[in-house]
Amino acid sequence: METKILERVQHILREDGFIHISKTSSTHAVTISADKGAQRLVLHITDQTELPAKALQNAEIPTVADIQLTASMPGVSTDATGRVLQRAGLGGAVTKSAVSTKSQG
Amino acid sequence: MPTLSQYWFENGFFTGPFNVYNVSYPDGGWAWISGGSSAATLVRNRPDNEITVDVAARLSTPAILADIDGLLTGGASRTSGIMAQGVFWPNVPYYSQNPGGHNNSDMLVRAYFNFHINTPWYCSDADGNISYYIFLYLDGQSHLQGYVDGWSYNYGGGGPFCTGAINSALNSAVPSGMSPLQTFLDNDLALLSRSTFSTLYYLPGSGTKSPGDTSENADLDVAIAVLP
Repeated sequence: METKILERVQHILREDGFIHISKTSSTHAVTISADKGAQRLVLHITDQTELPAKALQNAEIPTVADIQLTASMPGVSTDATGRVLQRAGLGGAVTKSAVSTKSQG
Repeated sequence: MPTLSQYWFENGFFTGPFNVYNVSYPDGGWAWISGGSSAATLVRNRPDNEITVDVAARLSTPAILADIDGLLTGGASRTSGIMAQGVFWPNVPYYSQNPGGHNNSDMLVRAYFNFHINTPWYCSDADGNISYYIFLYLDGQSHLQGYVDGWSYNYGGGGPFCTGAINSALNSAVPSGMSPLQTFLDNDLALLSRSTFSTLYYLPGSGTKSPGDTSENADLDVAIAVLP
């Protein structure tokens, strides 16, 4: 992201008597704040909308080839809010001997 | 004696406040539980040899809390203890990145805590939570194994100009928390390396077997249960 304009702005602010000039940088934004007496100034430049949430799967999940049993409730399906969609379900105790090998890369 | 446990969830299956009623009964005998109103219920027949681990309590060690507090710098601080929740794979926030990563009926353990971030005067402070998702399984030798499957964060506040800086800090700090958590998990699982198990499942809350009625919250704790 081009931020040279901010350097010029900082120079102008100093010339104009602004103090406490601070610059906060992140991957997609730079923010400058300063004050002069009761006046307070903020200048923000960004090239991307930043959402306040993120989720990622671990990129270094071990390669597991011998998963025999997971903590599972077979047949249960949920909607986006986690609400179970079925009226009812049942299952016996799922044990190792009752499931087949699952491979995961 | 085995225990019959019935869970009544107020808001939904494995979600939010619930009541559990435990009643033990003699081998070959029977038990009954009546009453309760709820959005969903779960009943478990729990053998004597069931072993449970209260996840939130187990993770709330001084060492782990210190690791977390060490991750949070630059005006960020932890505002809660460690909480835990059982979540079905489709409800993990990065599910869409790899839907086939697990079976849809698999549950993962979400370990999470709340945080607060102070911001400069021109932004509102941010409050949110950071989560790590743990996947557990029994391997071919019947040993309990597990790994940190992923992470997430979400928060409110930080506007109008600070979400970028907050995200940059969290994008760096949150993934680095997986390694110490994995080490803790490895060390804990190593303690069970001589044991073999036939069954693995999760129970909402602390996994209490205390006779009678107990109120807990499935969003705040989950118990891992295994049977030899």
